[in-house]
Amino acid sequence: MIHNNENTHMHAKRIQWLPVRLGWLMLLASLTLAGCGGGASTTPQAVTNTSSSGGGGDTYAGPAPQTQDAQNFKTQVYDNLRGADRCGNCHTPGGNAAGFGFANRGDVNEAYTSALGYVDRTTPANSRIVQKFRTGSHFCWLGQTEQSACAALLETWLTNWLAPAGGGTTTIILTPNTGGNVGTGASFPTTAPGSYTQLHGLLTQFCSNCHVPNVAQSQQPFFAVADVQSSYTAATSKISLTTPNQSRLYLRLVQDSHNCWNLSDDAIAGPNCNTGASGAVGTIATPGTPSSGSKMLAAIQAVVDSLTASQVPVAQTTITSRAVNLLTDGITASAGNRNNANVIALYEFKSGSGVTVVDTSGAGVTQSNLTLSGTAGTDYEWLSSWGVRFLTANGKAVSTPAASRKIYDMITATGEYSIEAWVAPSNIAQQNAFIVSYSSNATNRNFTLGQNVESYRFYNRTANTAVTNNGEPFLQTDPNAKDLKASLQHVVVTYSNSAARRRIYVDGVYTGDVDGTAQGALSTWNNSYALIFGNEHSNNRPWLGTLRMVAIHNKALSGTEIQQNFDAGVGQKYFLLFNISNDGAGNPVAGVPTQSYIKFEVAQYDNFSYLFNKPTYVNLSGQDPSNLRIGEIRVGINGQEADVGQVFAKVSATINAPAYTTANGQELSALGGVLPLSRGPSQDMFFLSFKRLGSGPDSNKDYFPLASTASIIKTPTAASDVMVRNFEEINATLAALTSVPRTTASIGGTSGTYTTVYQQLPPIESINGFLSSHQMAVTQLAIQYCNVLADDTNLRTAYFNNGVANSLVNFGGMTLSSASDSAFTNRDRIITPLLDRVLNVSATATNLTSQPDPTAVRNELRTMIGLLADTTSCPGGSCPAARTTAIVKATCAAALAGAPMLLQ
Amino acid sequence: MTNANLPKKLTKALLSAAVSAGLLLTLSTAADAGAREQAKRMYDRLAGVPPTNDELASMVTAMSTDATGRTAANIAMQNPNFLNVTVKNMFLPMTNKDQTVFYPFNDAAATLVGLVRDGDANPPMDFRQALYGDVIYTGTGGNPALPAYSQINNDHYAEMEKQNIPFSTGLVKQPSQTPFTGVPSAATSGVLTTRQSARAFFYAGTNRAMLRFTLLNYLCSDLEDVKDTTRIPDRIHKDVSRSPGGDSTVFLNTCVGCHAGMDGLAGAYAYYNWNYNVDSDPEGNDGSLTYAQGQVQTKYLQNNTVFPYGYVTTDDSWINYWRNGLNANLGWANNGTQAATVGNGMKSMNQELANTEAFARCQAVKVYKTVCFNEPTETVLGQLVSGFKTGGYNMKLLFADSAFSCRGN
Repeated sequence: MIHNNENTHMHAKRIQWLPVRLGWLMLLASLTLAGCGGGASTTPQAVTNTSSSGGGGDTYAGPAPQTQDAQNFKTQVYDNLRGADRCGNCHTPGGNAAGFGFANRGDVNEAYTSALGYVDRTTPANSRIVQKFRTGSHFCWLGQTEQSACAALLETWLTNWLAPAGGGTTTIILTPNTGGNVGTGASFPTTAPGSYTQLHGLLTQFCSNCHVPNVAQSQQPFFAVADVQSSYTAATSKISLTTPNQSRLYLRLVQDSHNCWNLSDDAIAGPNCNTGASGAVGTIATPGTPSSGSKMLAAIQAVVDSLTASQVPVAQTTITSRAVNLLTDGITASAGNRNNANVIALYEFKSGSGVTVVDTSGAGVTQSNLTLSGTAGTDYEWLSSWGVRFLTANGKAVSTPAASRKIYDMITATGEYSIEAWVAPSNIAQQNAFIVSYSSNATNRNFTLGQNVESYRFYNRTANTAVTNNGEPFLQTDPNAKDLKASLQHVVVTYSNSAARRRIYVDGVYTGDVDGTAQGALSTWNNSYALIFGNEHSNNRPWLGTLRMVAIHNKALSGTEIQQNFDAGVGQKYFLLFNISNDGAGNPVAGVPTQSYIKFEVAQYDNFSYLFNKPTYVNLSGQDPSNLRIGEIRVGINGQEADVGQVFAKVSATINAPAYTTANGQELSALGGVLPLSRGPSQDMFFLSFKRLGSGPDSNKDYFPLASTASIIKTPTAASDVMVRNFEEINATLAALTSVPRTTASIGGTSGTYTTVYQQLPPIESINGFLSSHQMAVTQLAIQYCNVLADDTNLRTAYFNNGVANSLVNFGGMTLSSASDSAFTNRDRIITPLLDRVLNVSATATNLTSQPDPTAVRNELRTMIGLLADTTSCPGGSCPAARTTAIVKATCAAALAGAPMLLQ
Repeated sequence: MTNANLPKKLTKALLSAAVSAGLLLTLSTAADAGAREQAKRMYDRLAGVPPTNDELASMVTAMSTDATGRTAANIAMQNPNFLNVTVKNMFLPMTNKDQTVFYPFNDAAATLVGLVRDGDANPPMDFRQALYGDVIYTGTGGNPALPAYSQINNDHYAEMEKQNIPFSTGLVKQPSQTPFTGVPSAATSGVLTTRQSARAFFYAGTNRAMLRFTLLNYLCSDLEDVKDTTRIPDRIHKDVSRSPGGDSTVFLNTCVGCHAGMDGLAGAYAYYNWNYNVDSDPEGNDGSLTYAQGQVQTKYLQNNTVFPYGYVTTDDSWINYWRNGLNANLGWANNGTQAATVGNGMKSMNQELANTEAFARCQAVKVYKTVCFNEPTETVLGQLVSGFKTGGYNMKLLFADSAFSCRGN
């Protein structure tokens, strides 16, 4: 036997395989089986050795199990099925299906022997007795419409039986698949085909307000540009050649109602996304019927039809692996090493349909099932990747007090518990949103795990008198830490009546938020409450998001146990082996040893994508490869390489020892990535393509075409030719025009005018943004400059009198201490120096036509001075001497604070 | 006398006069401009202040002898306000995250202004150095004397602005950033490794802001402009949800469009950080730039459980996935058929950006908008870019050519 040390992200287990003649075995041995002691176990809480939990009401009185495996079968499966209201009604001697006696009510050993014929020990989900529910309308004790729930429940019981804890190993047989042909596939030619004309017409007509580079609300991709080739290059990634109605160009209209347009050939006023004859928004349009969606789909279909008409086998255009399907060829890799030793209720959301959320814990005498409320598809939806998503405030899952009673009983017995959940909140804005509660209304509860913006909240009721019946004060994660994200997260809250009190763990890590409330017993819990997910019973605490798993333990899990469960992950995972010894047409690939595979860990990530993780080269034939070249791996779906998500496209490896070992193969990348789901896991056929593989020449497929140069060059937009000076230009201009330094304390000082008003001045030059408040600030600043100029002897002398001081206080020789009217006999002595600077009036040059007529301005200023210098306007007909200075300042400011200074 | 002491009547009167003057002006701006008007406009827009009559006369003469207008423009650019007002205010919004012009003068702005001033110095400064050079400008003079450059405050430059020290003489080009910022010469990357750039774009977060604002400020492209979902997403970190709110279509149609390229390039910043005391100085005003050779900052590894299969940054390597696909249009230098270029560190990555056609176009557009308040036509832009590049990326040429281009008819 050869061992490897591969530690997968999926289940933290070691993978081993050994060659055998007929196939290969992969032994999944628990990596931490030894280390997972201390209670770690994949077996749920031990159940009583009676059949009462399986319904029926009577006690098993038959022979004891003859083997340990039969004992395990009895504990995990038989006791659950034996009841007369379950399988024991028919699958027992005397029943309608006595020939299939796996629920033989009188003899567990007979039942065990019979069951062995109907179970798949490798993949319990494939067991015939599980598939019976999946494929038909078999009797289901939960109700005939809950076939999926019964299947999920049975699968869990079988898994618990067949994947024992504590040192056991599960043998997984890796059948070396041969894979299928990749088949034909269309691809986009480099040059836009003629069939693109119709689509281009729609895009340029209805999308060019945004999806072009040179508009204010420009939005990539620029597929609405007039240039056909540029448009085509940008649009191809938004068209699905394999499933046209999954094209992003189409879905944006019919799913998101994204800027649909008015149609002339429908009977609807206003934009019509898909509400014409074809049906409601969100449904697939019928090409030809009048709606934006249908017209878009028809145009897309035209492109697809033209390209698929000339499609060729993919293997002719690039180097490919064989094709495989996830469900058919995938090898179950889950049954992660979770710590379920104290789980009392477990919800894995495997059903995928119906209204029952099944408690698959097997713990207690009842199942704490919940019933989904609201309209499927509208208020909630099942995830095929296991989960339930609450879409509106009407979506929730509710249990009953009776069904929830075991939670009360089993938690109050221990005085401690944990709520564990894999959640994906829809957003980080919702407040007071309750995810998992055991309560009666918004003010009475035993416990609640909730969301408030970017924090998790934990309410817990105790006997401590400081704690309300509502479990408050709540403990929450630090809002500044933003521990809650709108992404898949593992959150665990624990409580114990000890110093530890409440704790919150996110993604396996204790958040460090300390419970400020003293510990207390759970003796005040109320057993008339009921479990509820996604809201409160009073319907006023809706939570929008996805639940992928919820587990309730009657133990405060330790940090180690929580980390273990986080590492175990969530959801169904597979190993997917891509045969690369032969290409997509079945031909051997030169230089690649037989039974060469690239193994991926694959899971459905959510309803829209797959997770591909950790590609590893393995050889199952025992031939160690030598210098096997593998370069640039891309994942293809249904004959087409995905346009987005090609995480492995940079992989470049040569398979050789020592990186390669027979036991472990050779890991090609430690990364994982998501790839868009196309037709769903049951139909999607995956293949790999390569730039190089083996000893043959590289693929000449061009994965990096250069785009047309026209697509993102922005063309200019015109604006006004005339602008205003901005704030600092105004300041500098006033300084230049008055000769007053801008650093003058009363201007640029700490409390100077400019320092005070600069943010009130125009921040930009655009004249469209010029406001009256800006003009007020301009005036204020101009007055201050003129103020300094008029009051500073040296400055004013130089400015108004060419530097010649001819009186104590002078402005061009005027005596300002006299009555103001006589002081302004020659007003031009003030005006001329200002206009020379502001209007660039020069004796040796013509006046600027871009400035006002100097004569007109001069006359305005003369008139203003005359009005202000009229002594009759002063009290008693006599103006104070200081008025003369004030008039000079006013004249200066009037000349400076206007458009001649401001515009440029 | 203060403003408040001005008689209300006077204030009212001068407002009236100011408005009247404005009305008069509107009648005359539409007229065709002669050489004197053209010179006036060029001067106004380059210096931000009006010319004296003597300067105007000199420009008119220069325009008659030099048909390129560069000689005339140089007269306007001699005015201290060209650097102290026009150029400074063009650059200030580029040095802070809010992109506001009402922001204190700082070492990043000073260095950008210096690079413009010395575009025609000896040796001439190539403006691409703004992105990758070991270059910094500090102040000199002042009364009182300027405080020394500090790694933990901006006092040196704030005082320079307060005293309105003319940048024409008061800015000094230093031989290296290292004695000032502490960043080793090999790790310097133009103004982007100055204290202010680090304070603005390496503050908290994940350093991705540095790339976004470099694109915005120097390539005139926001992330929305360069969104391309078809790029290889293998460098996207673990902190990016692949299924935001449980819906991976959001990632596959939106997030990946920016992150694929951005995370590939932003690896270049892995050793840089803005170091500050989050408790006593949550805004990081008193922090300093740190550079730890060979040590990836923890911000690159945070939130690593959001998508555990994502990329782990182990060094300061970068890869440019935008050379192909839609963003080939940024005009990468020497673009052939290679899938991507790679390198290590900020300097080489910013060289990659600085050598694009988009960089040259962006500077031309910015300058043209600064002095002409408009966007250039494609023809004018082509001429500006051509002159800029053949002139050794001398920014003064862009200012001169732009001002001359929109001098009026």
